[in-house]
This record gives sequence, C-alpha cells and structure tokens, in this order.
Amino acid sequence: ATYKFAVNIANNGSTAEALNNFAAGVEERTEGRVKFKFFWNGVLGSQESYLQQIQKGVVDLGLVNSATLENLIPTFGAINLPYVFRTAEEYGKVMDDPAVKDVLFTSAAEHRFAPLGYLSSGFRSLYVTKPVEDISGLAGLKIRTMSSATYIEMLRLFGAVPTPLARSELFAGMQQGVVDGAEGGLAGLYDGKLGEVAKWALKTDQTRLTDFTVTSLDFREKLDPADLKIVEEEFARVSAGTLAVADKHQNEAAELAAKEYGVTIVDIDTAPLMEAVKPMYAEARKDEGTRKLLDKIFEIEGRE
Amino acid sequence: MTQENTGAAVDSGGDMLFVVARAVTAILKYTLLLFLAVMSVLIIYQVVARFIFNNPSAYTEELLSFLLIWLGVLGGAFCFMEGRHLNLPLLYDLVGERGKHRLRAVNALLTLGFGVVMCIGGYHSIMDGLMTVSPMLRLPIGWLQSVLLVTGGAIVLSQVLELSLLLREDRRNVRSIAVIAAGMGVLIALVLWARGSEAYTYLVDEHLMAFSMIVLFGAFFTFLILGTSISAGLALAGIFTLSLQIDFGALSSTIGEQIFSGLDHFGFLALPFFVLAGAIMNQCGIAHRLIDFAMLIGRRIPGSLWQTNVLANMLFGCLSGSGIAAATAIGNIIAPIARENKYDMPMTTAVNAASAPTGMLIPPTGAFIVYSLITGGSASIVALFLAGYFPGIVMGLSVMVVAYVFARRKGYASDKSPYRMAEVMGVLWRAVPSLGLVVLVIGGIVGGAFTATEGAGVAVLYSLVLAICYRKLTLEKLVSVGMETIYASGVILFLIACSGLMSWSMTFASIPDQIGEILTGISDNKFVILLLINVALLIVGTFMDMSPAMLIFTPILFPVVTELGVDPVHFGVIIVYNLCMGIVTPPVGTVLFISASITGEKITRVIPPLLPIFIVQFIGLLVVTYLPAFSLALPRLFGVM
Ligand code: NA
Ligand code: NA
Repeated sequence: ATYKFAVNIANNGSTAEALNNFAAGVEERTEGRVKFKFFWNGVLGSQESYLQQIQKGVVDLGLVNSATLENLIPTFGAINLPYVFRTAEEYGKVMDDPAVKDVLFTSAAEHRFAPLGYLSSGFRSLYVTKPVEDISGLAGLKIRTMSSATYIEMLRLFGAVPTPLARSELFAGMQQGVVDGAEGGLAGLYDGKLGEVAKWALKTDQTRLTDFTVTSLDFREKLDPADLKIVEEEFARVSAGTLAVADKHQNEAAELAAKEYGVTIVDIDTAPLMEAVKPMYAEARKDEGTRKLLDKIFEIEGRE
Repeated sequence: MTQENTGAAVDSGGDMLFVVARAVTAILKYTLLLFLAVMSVLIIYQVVARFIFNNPSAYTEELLSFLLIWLGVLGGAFCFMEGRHLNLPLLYDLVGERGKHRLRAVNALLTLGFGVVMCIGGYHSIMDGLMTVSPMLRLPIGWLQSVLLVTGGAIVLSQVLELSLLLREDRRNVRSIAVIAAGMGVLIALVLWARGSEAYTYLVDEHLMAFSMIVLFGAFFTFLILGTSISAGLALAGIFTLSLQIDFGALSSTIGEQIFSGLDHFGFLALPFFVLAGAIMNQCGIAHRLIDFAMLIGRRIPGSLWQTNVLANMLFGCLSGSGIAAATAIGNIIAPIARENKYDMPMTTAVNAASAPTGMLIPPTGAFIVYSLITGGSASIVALFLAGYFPGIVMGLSVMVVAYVFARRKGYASDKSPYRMAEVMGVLWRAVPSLGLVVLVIGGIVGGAFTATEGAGVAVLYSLVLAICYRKLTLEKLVSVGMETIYASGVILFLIACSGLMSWSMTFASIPDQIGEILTGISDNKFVILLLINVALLIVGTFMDMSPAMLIFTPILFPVVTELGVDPVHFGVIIVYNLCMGIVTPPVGTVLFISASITGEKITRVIPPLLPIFIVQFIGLLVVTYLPAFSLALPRLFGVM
C-alpha cells in the first residue's frame, strides 16, 4: 500500500535526499508492498498541524523537528538547548544512545505517535548583513528566528534582538533592513540564495535542530512485522548517513556562497556564546523530565 | 455573489428562539468589536516596539495570530447569524416563491449539518489539543480551538432560526422541510450502505484520485448551484471528499483543525487592518478629495469626467484594496455630475465598473496577501505589491483609452479653462494628506521600516489620526466603521478557513497532481498552458467572485506553472489581473451590479460599452502574461526578489 508522508521542506537538499533514499530502499526491499507518497513543501500544513493528523492516524508519517515536539513534550527541550552538543561527534553519540532514545520514544508513545528515527540537518549558525567579529558585534542586531521560546531566549542572551518574521519574508526583510540577519543552517546562504544579501556567515554552531520522522500508531499496526522491520532498518541506514553528510553539506554550501556571492565566513570564538547561554540550562533543569535527560546527555558527553 | 443569503433576520422577535438568537448576535457583535480594537492596539504597539524601542515582541505576534483566527471564525459565525455570506443566487432568481422557500430549506439544512460537524470537531479538537501548547504564550492549543465549538453552535442556531422563519412565513413549509430532511437522510443512508459494497471499495482502492475529484467538484458545484453559502459549500465538499478515506471519528476533528489552521498565518492579519484603514479613510471623505485631484489631472481630455472616474478609482486603489468600495465611493459622486452634464450613462456605468478593480492590483491589496500565503510564501508580499503597480495602471489605462475614443466619437468637449495656481494648490492641499498614506505605508513596507502586516497597522493609525484631524470621527461612526470591517473580514476570513479545509482535502486525495498531469498532457509549452489557464480563469471569473476563485484554483494551478518555470510573483499578478476582470462580468459581477445600481442603468444596456473595454483589458492581460518583465521590473529594481 502507499502511505502518506507529510514534509514541510522542499524536495531538494540533504534531508529530502535522505527521505527519497529511504523510500526507494523500502519499496525495493518490500517488493512494492510498502510505498510512500511524499507531500513536500508543507502542502498538508505546518508541522504542528500534520503532527495532530498523525496522532489520529489520518496521516501516516511526517517529518517533525525537535522544536515542534517540545511544544507537545517538554522533555524534548533538552536537545534544543544551545551548545548542548558542541561537536557532531557528541551529537551522534547522544542521539544513538539507547537510554536517550528510550526517554524520547517512551514519551512519544504516551502521545499516540511513534518516532521512527532522526535525520540530522547539521549545526545552525547565524548569518548577518553587517560585519561581526565576536559576540559584542551581535549587540542590538535584529536576528530573525522561528517562534520558539528557546531560540528567542538564546538570541537575547547573545545580546541580539530576536525578531520573529515569516521565513518567506526573510530575503526581502534582510534586503530592506527589517532584520539584520537570521539564525539557521549556513546552507541556506547558497541553497536559498540568502548570501545575496547576508554577507557574513558566523560559524556559531549553537544548535542542532533534529528532524524526527514520526509515524502514526496505526501505521505500525497495519504493517506486516517483517515489513516494519525493513522500514526501521532502512531508516536507521539513512539516519546514520545524514550525520556525516549534513555538516559536510552545510560547509560546502557555505563555501559555494563565499565563492558565488562573496560571503565572508567568520570563525567566531564560541566560548563567550556558550558562557552566555548558561542560565538556560539552570532554567531547563526546573522541569523534572528535562533535568534527567540533560544529566544523561552530559554524562555521555563527559561534561559538567 | 452579491446577493446576501436570504438568511436569518433576527428582528421579528417574540418567542424564546428569537430572544436567544438576538442575545447571541449581540454578544458576538461586541466580542468581535472588542477583538478588533485590541488587535489594532496590539499591532500599533508592535510597530512602536520594533521601530522606536528596537524590541520586537514575539508575544504580541502570537497573540495577534490567535486573535485573528478567532476574529475570522467567530466573524464567520456572526455573518451566518446576519445572513452575510456570499453565495451564487442564480437559481434563486429563476424559481418562484415556493421554489425559493424550498431552496432556503435545502441550504439551511445543509448548513445546519456543517454546523453540527463543526461542533463535534470542535469538541474533539479541544480534547486532543489540551496537551500541546503554543510556542510563546504556552497556551494549550485545545483552549484556542474551543472557538470551533462556539462557532459550530452559532451556525446551528442561525440555521434553526432560518428554518423557523420559513415556517412563520408559510405553514406549508413544514412539509417541504420534512421532505427535504427525509430526502437528505435517505441519501446519507444510501451512501453509508454503498460504503459496504464491492463497487465502492473498488473505486476507493483503484481509482481514488478520479473518484475524489468527482466527489469534490460534483459536490461543490451542486452546492454552488443550489445557492449554499460558498464557504459552507467548500467545507462540505471537502468533508465529503475526506470521508472517502477517513472514518467519521477522525474526520470531524480533522475538519476542525484544518479550518483552524487555515487561518493560522500571521500575514492574514494585514487583511482586516487594510480593510479598517480603508473604511476610516472613506469616512473622512477622501472620495471627494481624490476626485477633485483626478479632475485636475484629467480635465483637458475629452470625456474628462470618465477620465476623472478612472483616475479617482486608481487613486482610491492606492488606499484601499476593495473594488466594491471604490465603485461605491467614487461612482456615487461621479454619477450625478455625469447625468447633469448629459454624459452617456451606460458608458459612465461601464467606466466606473471596469476601473474599480484596479485597486485590487495596485497595492495595498488583500488579493496579493492571500495569494502569497496560499503559495506558502513562494512569492513575497512586498514583491507582489510592487509587481501590481504597472498591471493595475494598464487595467485603468485600457478603460481611459476606450473612454477617450468613445468621447471623441460623440464629440464631447473638454474643459479648456486655464489652471489657476490657487485652485491647484487648494486641491493638492486637500488631497495630499490622504495620498501621504501611500508614501508612508507602501514606502515603509518597500523601504524596510516594517512588514506588510505592520504596514497595515500603520495605515490604521495614520487614517485614525487623519480622521481625528478632520473631525470626522464620532464614537458612533467608529463603531460603524468597525462593523463594516467585521462583516468584510468575517466573510473573507471564514471563506479562507473553509477553502483551507477544501484544499487540504484536495491535496490529501492528490487532486492537484492529477489536474497538473491533465494540463501538462495537453501541452508542455509554458505559453500554451498559460493561455489555457487564462481562458479557464476568465470563465471561472464570470460566475465566481475573486476570493473564492483564487482560494480554489491557486493551489491547483500554482504547482503546474511553477514546474514550467513561471515565476511565482508573475503568476500571482496574472491570476489577480484575470479575476479582476471577472468581478465585472455577469452573471456574477459584484462591481458591475453596484455601479449599475448607482446609475440606475440596466445591465443589458451596460454590456455594449463594456465589451470594447474588456477587449482592450484582455490585450492588457496578454501583455501581463507574456511579458514577465512588465510585472517583475519594479520588484527587481527594488531588489526584493
Ligand atoms: Na489597492
Ligand atoms: Na463575474
């Protein structure tokens, strides 16, 4: 049968490639018994909206990031904290840890959906229209971000002015000076042509927004156990692949933006930024579930 | 779709039902007015916070988004109570008194059914959404979605009221209503029975897309012809289509959520604010000032009053995004002068009607805001705004050219009196404060001082200040301006919400893919496809208003044309230009009907002078379609795309 897979990104870039790769692998190994019909570009609605449909079993699968999940399950907030992962290696180690998986996946089951696995889309950084060399340069800059309490607080602690703005108005917004920059993956500078206006790419690497692929509980029940196993194996295969590819893709795209649009890539000193966001950890620890997960993560990373 | 639903009038008081209905209507009215007031304050606060204190507030943004959804959905309920929703009155006009009653009964029962589904869906959404909180204010989404239950209840009440009105008007309607209700019951039973059959299973399993397409369009056009309000018709068509794939339990809450999230875009906020600003401006008597200013420019041209009418409509368009408002405000002043000066009145009507829609191309305009958001922001609002100027001017110039030729033929004289400095300065002095809004708002949006949504808030503030300076605003007038805005936004926002449900169900059944394949099967040449689309939209435009047409067809056509490499901004201009012509063409031509009712001319007498205007405007459409640079030069010049 064909299952409906809701995605809010375009059918290009590394995440889309991984999803297509997954679908092709599943279709081949199940000999066409399990096929996916992707609904790209958010045509089935925002992540919040199709997550609700997945919970009801109306939509079968969906790509939902950790910020969206945090609104439903506060524990997911732990992996959204800035600098909770300092390197890609730390990120991989934590996300593949059985105990971490257990925490995240058990809480999902209580909310009537099941994570299939995660896709990494690399570190998120900052890009701006004005020259910035260190944290002091961020003071007072209007930085576009998504509507997330975590991201807004983070930018505020960096000294910037977090500014919510529709993603579609970002290019014009930077061009006109409504905002001075944005927070996001540096690949956007080339893939999304944002390098035409944002000439400084700051390698702040503050967060990794994790894209989870989640399924409805019905989907797991409908599938033959053998086919479900294939689906899980195929996903694990592409998931592992994204870890290496995602950062490579971000860097390559940033370098292309440097060549094509003359973007300056700034290797900013992240230590003061890490120091600045420390109060967020204290705040996060006030939630029992988040504190436990955070402790676990720090234990895996071997940090205080 | 000009005629109001022959809906529930709440003034024939007496028994309990009417007392309750009147109370609910009053509560809705004051709640909506309060929402609008709070929203105006918040958006102005947001501009000030960002612009003056450099401290944008993410909390007001989220609060405003939710208030907008509430305004739209509750406003929709209010418009059901007041019988304000758009419908297609074709069949109503064809049948006799008894037939009208039967149609009203059918539509009341259909809408009642929609209300019941919304109640159930609203209840489920509250229960399902209690766990999820909004990102900034951390409010449970379930609370926010409780508006669906309230709205469903109000819709049910409004239709029960309509049915009881029918009974009061004629006791024989008891039988009609009973028969129609029984008929609908039998139909539903038949469908439920058919669902168990092999043929049904075969259709759903093997031909889902085609089957869905037949159900969707079949249902929608049936409701359209019956004269059901378009919003309820869209929602019901969507519900039927979804029911092919989803069980009733999940279906009702899915419906509620899709209606709710259909309005969940911050950008839609600009719609009620631009309407409000336009209404306040109009209250200040800008129409007269603009006409004097236009007269100054156009008086040397033969048939100068017609030239003035077109120019005034275009200037009005710079301040408002409503063709109806322009046709009414400007037409009402021009018509008596034209009659006095022995102008050809059918031509006068045609000139006003054909030039009034230019304001829907010339920014600010809600049409582009809606388009931008339906396309998921592929085309930015700023770029669309700038792209609309030249095509809007072309649409107006087309009317001026025909009017000029017509006037020359008829030997109309022009005003050759010399320009006197004092007169010129006086007219400018009176017009400039209104036109200052264009510089401030559009300049501010393009120049980056604020976003389109905030620009709408600035427009509200500016027009309020102007109204106070002109001493034109009493509390009473402020309330009437607010009500005007609530009616207009209730209709359009609820339509957007319902079309959100329908287009979701279309996508869910992969209908756009299917239509895309059919279209590209005919030709893979971009220019042929665009011509086909233009012809199809012109036909659609004859019987459908701009908003529903755009809301229904953009999601279908947009993926097809972008695949062929048409620029999203360019396509938005094509669609809006095309449908601007549609609001003037009968049988459903809102702006034409208004212009004709102002001059008192018969539609049949207005058509002959309209035809040459349409031909020239159609040539303009071809220019807009085949010369992308014509639309895209300005946004490129300002670097916003
Ligand atoms: Na306008
Ligand atoms: Na029409």
